[in-house]
Amino acid sequence: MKRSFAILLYFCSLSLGAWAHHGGTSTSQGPGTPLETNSPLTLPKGGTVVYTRAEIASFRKFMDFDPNNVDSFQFYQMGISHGLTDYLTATAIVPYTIKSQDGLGSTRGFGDGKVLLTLGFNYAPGEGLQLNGEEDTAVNLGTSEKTYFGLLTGISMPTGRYDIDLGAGVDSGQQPGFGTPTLTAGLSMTRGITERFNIAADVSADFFTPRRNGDKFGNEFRANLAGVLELYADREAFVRRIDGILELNYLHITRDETARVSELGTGGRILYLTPGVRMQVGDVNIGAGVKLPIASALNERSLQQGSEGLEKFRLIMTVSTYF
Amino acid sequence: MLVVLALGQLALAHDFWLKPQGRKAVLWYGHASEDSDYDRGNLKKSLALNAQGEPLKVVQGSDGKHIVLSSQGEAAQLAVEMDTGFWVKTVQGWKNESKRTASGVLLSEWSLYYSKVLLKPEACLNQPFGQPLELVPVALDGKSLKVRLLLHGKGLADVKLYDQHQKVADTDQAGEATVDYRQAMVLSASCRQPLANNPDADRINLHAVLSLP
Repeated sequence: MKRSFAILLYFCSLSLGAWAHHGGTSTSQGPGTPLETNSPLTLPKGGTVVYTRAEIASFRKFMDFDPNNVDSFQFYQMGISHGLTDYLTATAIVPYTIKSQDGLGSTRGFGDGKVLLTLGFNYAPGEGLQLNGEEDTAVNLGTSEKTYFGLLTGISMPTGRYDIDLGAGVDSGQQPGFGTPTLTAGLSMTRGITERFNIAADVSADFFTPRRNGDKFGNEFRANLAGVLELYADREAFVRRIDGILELNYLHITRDETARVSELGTGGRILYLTPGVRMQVGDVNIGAGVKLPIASALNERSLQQGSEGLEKFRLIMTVSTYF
Repeated sequence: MLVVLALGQLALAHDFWLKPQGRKAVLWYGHASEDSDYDRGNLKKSLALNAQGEPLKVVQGSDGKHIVLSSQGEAAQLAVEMDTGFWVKTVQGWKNESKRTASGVLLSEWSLYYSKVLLKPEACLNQPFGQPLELVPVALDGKSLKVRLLLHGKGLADVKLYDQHQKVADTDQAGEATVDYRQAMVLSASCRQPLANNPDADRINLHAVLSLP
């Protein structure tokens, strides 16, 4: 089984705008949140965010793979998050993917649906750890001494097709779905450093379960660090806020397995640099960034055309709003 | 990023507090050394007590930016009541308006500050003004300060006390707490209570601030 695509990033940073006495408030998808790094902030009880996200990856091509180089992947998500309580937010995601390969064409279709739960808690000096309360939602990180954490768990179900044949057999890496459930676990944090600058970080893992025939995608481990700087804010203006974002995104992928045997040409370690920007325009938050592989150690690089680390770039765009 | 970490400071929640200035007190708004502008119309009441606990007439002046309080007679302590009105919190942040005119309200409150300064701390022990929420010094030995937090005259237990927004103690069952005494300290405490059948806010947020020279 060829490992040649990335799963969608479940930890989308959606966006909501807000301004308090200073700067703006942040929700789990609000201003002050990065693009790739997961924000731990939970939504207010009863609050709902809907969002869409697009990620377009364009791959470097190698002569050895002609005429069937993997050209590009397009990942689209529709998601909805809801605050079950002030400290527990549920998210449901439906992905749609288009994967294009030279000479063979494109596979397209809905991917594996996923549900996630985020447990939000915080640490305050002298007060210790506590679950998020109503004061901790839509929080202004620039005026809070608290450090916020999120414990995230999730599971995807194999609702997407994984048997599309473009004429060269069924390539698992080119399918919209994985064919098996995926388990996700992660821990994230964020805190304000100055009135206009905050950091966020997270570690997470996606564990792929094996198919009945023993085939299995490699597990994925991520570590992200982001800085978000408020560049502009005017709560009365149409464009209410602009954030500049810079992230480091580390990804470690273990080898795929075929019939329980580790496979060559899969897995490795990649470090991305992701500059980006977020804008709050009215009630809508718009984010965009480009994810660039700046270092990689792939297991068998010459065999891994179309895999993570061999992209030219990944373009990320997200739009969200709060109800 | 490290440079920003080194240079930056959080802008913490603001308090109204009285800064002693000889026999006068200057009303500041902000956190620590922050000196933010405020609406002078928020001042609803000013009070002064002498060393015997007798009320004195307060004179309100200005230094151009701040309200400056002095008294006719020698005051041991001065106090103000500040009413900043109704506030709503939405995903757009906090706004100074009633919940009846706002949409998407997550929280709403009526915010009142009761701030006082001890110009002669030893003479102010057990001498409350009678503010709805008040920090009253009950003992001072040069190294430690014992205070009692009163809500409508009764000790209020299990409330966090902050010195310059750093938590320093919790009040005990009598509403009392002992903290390290240092010069120019600004103690604060807050108490939120539900407001029944109020069309403008769901709760009242009372702040007590005690500053010492």
